[in-house]
Amino acid sequence: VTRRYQVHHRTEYRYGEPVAVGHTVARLVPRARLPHQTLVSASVTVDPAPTHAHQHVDGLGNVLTYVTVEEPHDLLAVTATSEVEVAPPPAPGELWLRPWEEAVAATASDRSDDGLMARLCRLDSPHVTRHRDLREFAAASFLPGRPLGEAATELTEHIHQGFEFLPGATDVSTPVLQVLDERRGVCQDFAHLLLGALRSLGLGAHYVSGYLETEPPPGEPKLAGADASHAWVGLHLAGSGWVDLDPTNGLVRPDRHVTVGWGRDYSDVAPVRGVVFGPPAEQKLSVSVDVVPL
Amino acid sequence: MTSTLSARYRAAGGRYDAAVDASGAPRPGWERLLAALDHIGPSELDRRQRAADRLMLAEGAGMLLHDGTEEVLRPWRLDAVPLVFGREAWDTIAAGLVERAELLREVIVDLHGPRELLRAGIVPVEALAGHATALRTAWSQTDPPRLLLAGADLVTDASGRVCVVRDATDVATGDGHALLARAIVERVLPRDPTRLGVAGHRPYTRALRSALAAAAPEGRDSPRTVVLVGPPDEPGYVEHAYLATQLGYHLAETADVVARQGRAWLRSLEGLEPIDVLLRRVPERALDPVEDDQVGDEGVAGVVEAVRDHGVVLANPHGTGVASHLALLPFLDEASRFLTGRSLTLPSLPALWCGDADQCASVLASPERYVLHDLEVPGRPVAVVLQGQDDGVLAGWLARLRERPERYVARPSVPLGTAPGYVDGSGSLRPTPVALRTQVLLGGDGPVVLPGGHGRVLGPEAGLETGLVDGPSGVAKDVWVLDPERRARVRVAVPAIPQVDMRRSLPTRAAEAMYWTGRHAERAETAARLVLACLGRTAGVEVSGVDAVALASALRLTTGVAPVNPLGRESGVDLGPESGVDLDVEVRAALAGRLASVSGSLRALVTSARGARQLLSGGTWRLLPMLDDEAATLDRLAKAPDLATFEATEALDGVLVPLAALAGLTAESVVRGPGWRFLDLGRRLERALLVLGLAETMLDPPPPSPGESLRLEVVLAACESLVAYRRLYRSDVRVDAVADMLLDDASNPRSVRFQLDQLAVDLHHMPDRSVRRQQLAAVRSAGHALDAHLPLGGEGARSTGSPGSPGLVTGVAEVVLATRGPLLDVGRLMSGGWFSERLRRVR
Repeated sequence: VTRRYQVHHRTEYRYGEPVAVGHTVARLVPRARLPHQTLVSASVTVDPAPTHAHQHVDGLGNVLTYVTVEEPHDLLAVTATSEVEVAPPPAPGELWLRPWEEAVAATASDRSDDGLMARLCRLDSPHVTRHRDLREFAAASFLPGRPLGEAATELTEHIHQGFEFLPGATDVSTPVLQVLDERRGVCQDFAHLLLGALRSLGLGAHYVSGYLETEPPPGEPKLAGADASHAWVGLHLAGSGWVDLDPTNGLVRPDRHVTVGWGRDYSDVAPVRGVVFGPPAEQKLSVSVDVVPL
Repeated sequence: MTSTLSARYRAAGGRYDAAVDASGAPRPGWERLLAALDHIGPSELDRRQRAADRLMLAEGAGMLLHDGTEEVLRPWRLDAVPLVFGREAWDTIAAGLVERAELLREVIVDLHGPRELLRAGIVPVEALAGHATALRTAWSQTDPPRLLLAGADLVTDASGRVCVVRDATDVATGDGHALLARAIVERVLPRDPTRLGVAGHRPYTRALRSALAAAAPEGRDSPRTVVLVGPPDEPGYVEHAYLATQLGYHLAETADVVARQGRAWLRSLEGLEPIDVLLRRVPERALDPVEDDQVGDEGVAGVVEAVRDHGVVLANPHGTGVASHLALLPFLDEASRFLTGRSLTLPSLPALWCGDADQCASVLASPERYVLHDLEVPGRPVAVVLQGQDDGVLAGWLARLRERPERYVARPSVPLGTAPGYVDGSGSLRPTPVALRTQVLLGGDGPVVLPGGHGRVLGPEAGLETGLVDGPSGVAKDVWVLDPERRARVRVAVPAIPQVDMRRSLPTRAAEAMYWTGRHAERAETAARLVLACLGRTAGVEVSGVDAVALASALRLTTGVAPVNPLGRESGVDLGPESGVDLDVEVRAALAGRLASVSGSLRALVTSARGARQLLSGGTWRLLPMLDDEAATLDRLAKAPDLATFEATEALDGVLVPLAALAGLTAESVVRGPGWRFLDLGRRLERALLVLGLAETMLDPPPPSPGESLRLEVVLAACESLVAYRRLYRSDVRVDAVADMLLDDASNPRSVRFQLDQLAVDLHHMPDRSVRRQQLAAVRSAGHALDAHLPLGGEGARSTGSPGSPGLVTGVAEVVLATRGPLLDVGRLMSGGWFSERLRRVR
């Protein structure tokens, strides 16, 4: 079943006092061509009107929108609207059913474009550092010789069940080991935790940013993380691509997730970041996300 | 000559020496230099070494070497003995450097686009993990960065083979150092470079200028290039400043440059002025806080996007740094065969990337043979010598190595080659290990190699044993490439034409630095003179209470704190010894300790002057280390248990001489552009405010009788007007005449009236902005205040100064009050009106 969604993502910065110039980099346009996703249309608008606006594709294939506002403004609004078709993900490659150690070896020698990126995603990144505690955490599911799919599914569900979804308990800079210790966080933390666990085993896994349907279909529970940007994990299977794992909701190969960007961790795909010049005042950030089925 | 400088020189055992072979015989190219050194002799060489140190210190005021993590700061020195290459030997090296630079250019292009090196497995992608920017940034998909300047560090191994230790493709510094070292050596070994026939640097600087002009975005007539640098306290600032001067370019700190409308601009007093090319001396990780992978929020926000927009060109572009990633080094030769079909003729010093299981196993098998480089922060690798570490420390490193092998590069320790050095002043030449930083310019007119480059004597950390060459080095060496043909040529100095006319175009930050240079210089000078006058005239004299209060108040006001105001001061009652003022304490505080004490003002002056480097004449740089030294002396004296009057007097005299020289240099050797106007404004404003303060504290209440002239003499001496007064009045010091001379006498360059006149002249020469009109109005109202209150009331005021009249005045406090307000407004408008563009980041 292919589903079509309209995504509306608005980010507002209130600066308290007028700022003179602001440079903003936004990663808000969903990936155009994935096996299970097609981008129908996308637009990013900025208020006040920027003097400079340009779209680039970064080395990971994400679309980024660079805008510069050069008039005094105390409110910056970045609104991204897009229409996306999401199909059920294709069946995972053969490695999914093989002992997980085979996936480790296959990724290590993969020289395809995907493989090169996956190999970087087996190492440390700014928010995710491999650690023996994470390896132990993962090893409970990743028993020697166990099929990759079984182990990855169990670990994903284990985080969903064993950790509390608690907005406000953590922030962007909360270390993965603290999340492991305190057993609570938000989707970003759980994604980083799962990445750290998989990478500590030698598997290649990347961070995925995107969206969930805001209101669930009748009779189904609302998913956590549906009112803002969502984050999950893609596990690399050499030769067949990435299998999505959503530890926040305990979902393997979710079929209603809209993919925006991927990278080694959050730092590669932050939705909106930038620099403004002006008096040092408190800034307030508000984000609203609506994902409506069409 | 029978000197034995060269005869006694021997290579260190087991090492290759550049100058002599194992038997002590000179190698080709060195005979003439060694003969010249023998001719000079040890004591003369000693003198020249000291001259080189002095010149380097003067030129390098503020250039300090960050000594690894310990943050030890010490100035760079220059070994008077150069490093020499024969023409043929150098030509071979230069050809190898060009070949290598061209390879690195291709490697950078490949890693930003096709990634064939990674796909073919020549370079494992994990080796680039710490430097993944190339694989992730936005412009990898469009036009890849083109390497323009490639640096390399060279050493000699035990067999005499020249090897590359590492490449420098991000910021290829060292060329400024090379030019600077040559300028100094040409002075301390006069005529020697040309008599021996040494290849000059001019072809390189000329080629660099034309390559940068050619690099400008299309359609720019007479493109403007600036040298982009970090703040003045960064190591290398002086090198870059020197290079900028030699090239005739503006030196722009990142705070001077903004990105707007897809272009880069220089913030100047006249507004924003376009820049076409940035000769980048800021590491790419500190270049633009909007971009990924930036460390901190320094840099020019938006400049990289302006580059993508083709609004400005960076040389080197950001993204070139990946080629100098140390983990790439072990794969470079294979990359050369893959991309060009040839091996590199100039080899790299062996290096192992531990991410490779076999190479890692070699390191773990005999760690004591290696130096380990931790690449966690790619721009600043940490190196550790594994040999000689105690067991616990070694085990720790090996555990980290096993945990994250891809983060480490190991190098076998090799005995490094040496060259004769003199810098330690031992009276003889010593073999010292040397590294060489070379430069290759890959311009459109074909590659140009800087002949020789910048030599560095490796510190003891680099050791003769360890082969650790990345360690800090504090000693530079000029490097000569002998060019026999050059001897015949006549040297004609062709000064580079400055590309930016500083008379019209002044960066805002430089203007601010000039203004504060003027203010701090004046403050330091007046405070020093006041303390000197106090010391001279109160020694062994009983100072009355009211005089003591007045002196203490003057000392305090001049050094930036509130005056003494004990009960009874207004009434003029003599408080006697009960005044509660300890002049000794006051003098110490005025010498050092307070922010605006003599010492504090001197340091502030040095800091401000460094920021105004481009606008001040070269001679100024010799004064700054002196002022720094004097400040240190004052700090020490003020801390001593007993204030040594004689030493303090000597030290203050020592302060006044360089300050007078500074005033002379700024008066006679600085172009009368807006930069100079800002300096003069600062000086005039500060002087007017200080004289008003002295008048307020010392003339009010007036001394009771004409005979008691202690206060008047001190105030005249502090204002450098005592001699003038005596010539003019030929009488006892009279308060009315003193007040007239200090406040109203338009012919006295120390009077408030004189300062107001000059402030108006300076302001008339400034760019026409609304702040200028406000400041002129404030200066005028200060003048009106003087008019309204002068001459001062009181018996004998404004008299001819004939002896006999008591000369009492009233109304000093009123005139000071009325004049000071508008002058303080001038100062406030300065910061708020001219310099307010300083921007702050909030996100």
